[in-house]
Amino acid sequence: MTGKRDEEDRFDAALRDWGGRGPRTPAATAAARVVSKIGGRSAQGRAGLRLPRFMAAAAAAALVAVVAGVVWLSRDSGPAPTPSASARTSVELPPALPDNVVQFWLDAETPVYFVTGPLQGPRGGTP
Amino acid sequence: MTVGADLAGLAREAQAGDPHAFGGLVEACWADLVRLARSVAGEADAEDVVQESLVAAWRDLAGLRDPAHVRAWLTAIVFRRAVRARRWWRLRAALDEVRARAAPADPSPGIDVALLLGRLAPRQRAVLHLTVVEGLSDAEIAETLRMTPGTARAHRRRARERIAQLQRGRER
Repeated sequence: MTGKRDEEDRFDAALRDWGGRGPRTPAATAAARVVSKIGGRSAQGRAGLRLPRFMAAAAAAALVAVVAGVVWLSRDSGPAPTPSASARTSVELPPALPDNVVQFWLDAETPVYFVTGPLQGPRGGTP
Repeated sequence: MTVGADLAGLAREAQAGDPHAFGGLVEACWADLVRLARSVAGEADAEDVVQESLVAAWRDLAGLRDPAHVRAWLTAIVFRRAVRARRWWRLRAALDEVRARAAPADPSPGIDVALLLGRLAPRQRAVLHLTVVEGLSDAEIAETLRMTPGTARAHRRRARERIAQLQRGRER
């Protein structure tokens, strides 16, 4: 029993010597290496939970800006007129659109109207 | 206690996305982690295993539920990766053993710890290391290696039996 105990103690002492040695690389150096490796990954890693929300908000804002720009341009100029279409356009277009209506042209003959607020004219009609 | 509290604070900051706080964690835990990796995966791979484990841990920081247990959490990650790296060490250990048998008998043989550890199962190796080198209790070992304290005791008992068997075999 004592022999077994001595054997264990000798092994434990050897394991402590062998396993207790410090690392070759100092902790500060290792930390600097790890930080340099993860530094560029902060956006993928932990911040990964937040970035999509931020990106979604930015994308939504950009989309709104683009749509607003398109709307603004379409109100001013309408579709690029072809010589034959421009004559018809002047006949087919209503003389004026209410402020809460936006008009797009799918092609030279197909207008699409977006109403951005309650209609002020008679219900159900084309503005 | 203060160190643990500091580690928890660093862990929270790291979870908030601060890589330098994570660097502080690395600095605080590096030596312990390398020692464990050395016992499980072998000398040659230990530091690489720990470094890769820490980069992986950073990516998975959301998985750390309780920052107060960040040390055990990192140790568990290093242990898992060290087990994967261990198969290479097994081969090396086998070669070392062949070399040792071929060499002339040493009149005062020491204990070849690396060789003996190499003959144990990874969990036995880790339990023995955490017990003898790090001085952890069975409860702490159980938390670190995701097992019950009873299982930790069983691994240690089997590891000791195997070591004794191997030592007797070499002495004969």
